[in-house]
Amino acid sequence: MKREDIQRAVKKVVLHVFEDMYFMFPEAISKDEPVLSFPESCFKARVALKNGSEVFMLYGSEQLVVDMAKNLLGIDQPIAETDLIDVFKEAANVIAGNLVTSLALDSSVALDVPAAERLQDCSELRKAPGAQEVVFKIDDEFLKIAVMTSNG
Amino acid sequence: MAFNVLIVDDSSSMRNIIKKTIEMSGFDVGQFFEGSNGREALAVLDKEWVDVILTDIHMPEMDGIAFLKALQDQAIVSTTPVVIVTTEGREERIEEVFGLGAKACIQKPFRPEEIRKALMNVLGVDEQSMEKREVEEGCDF
Repeated sequence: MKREDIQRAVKKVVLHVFEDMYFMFPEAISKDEPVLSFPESCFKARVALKNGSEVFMLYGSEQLVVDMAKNLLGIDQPIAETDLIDVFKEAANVIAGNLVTSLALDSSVALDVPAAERLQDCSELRKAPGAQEVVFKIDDEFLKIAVMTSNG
Repeated sequence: MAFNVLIVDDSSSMRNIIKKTIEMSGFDVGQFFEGSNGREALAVLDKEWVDVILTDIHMPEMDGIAFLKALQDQAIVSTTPVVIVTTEGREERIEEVFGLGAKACIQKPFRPEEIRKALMNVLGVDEQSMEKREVEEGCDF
């Protein structure tokens, strides 16, 4: 799978999912554009592929996940931690599922059940973006999608 | 006639969204039942009468494909329509769920109209009777 194809698909899918599910409008940030400060508090979600080598990772700032949950659930009250984790996990599921469709991966490749957690240490976000990563700015909040493969 | 609806998804937020969407769509719902995987859904079906099932595919313990196969074994799928609500859009996967008896397939993220249309189709409800109900009850969709 070509790097450009993955990046193009990630941008298209993230835009589609955030517009339709959360009424938010992500903007992809280029590597040379130091627009965002890294969040101190964030969530991480992970979806692996069965019979495939790819793993999709999502990182979102805490405020982004709170805003996603409020928009999705249509409520304006404080949201429990378990619900924030559930919303971010489902976001990872929907994005990964649409990516698999968009990239037309072989039908033997299936999504594993996603997992999400609050990251106690967000320092891994500060790593320089790799070839298979896209960073988005969404209402001044941070989202990073990384597609990792077992062969690098 | 009020319909009993079973929603199966491992995400509680997604179950809530589907429930709200159906409520807003103007269907006469008797009761909502929920399950976070196929196994929990089968336990509900053991005890309750359900008119329509909406289920995800990717779930822990018993996924949507295994759930559909279990419904087929129990001949439930021939009497209770199943709507798949999933992130999957690949043709082979969609063909697979239809082959297992699903009556409709909706891809996430979905629009409320897609849920409404699919339910109308599988439950055999026409637009006229929905409109009549909306006027009678003042539903605004």
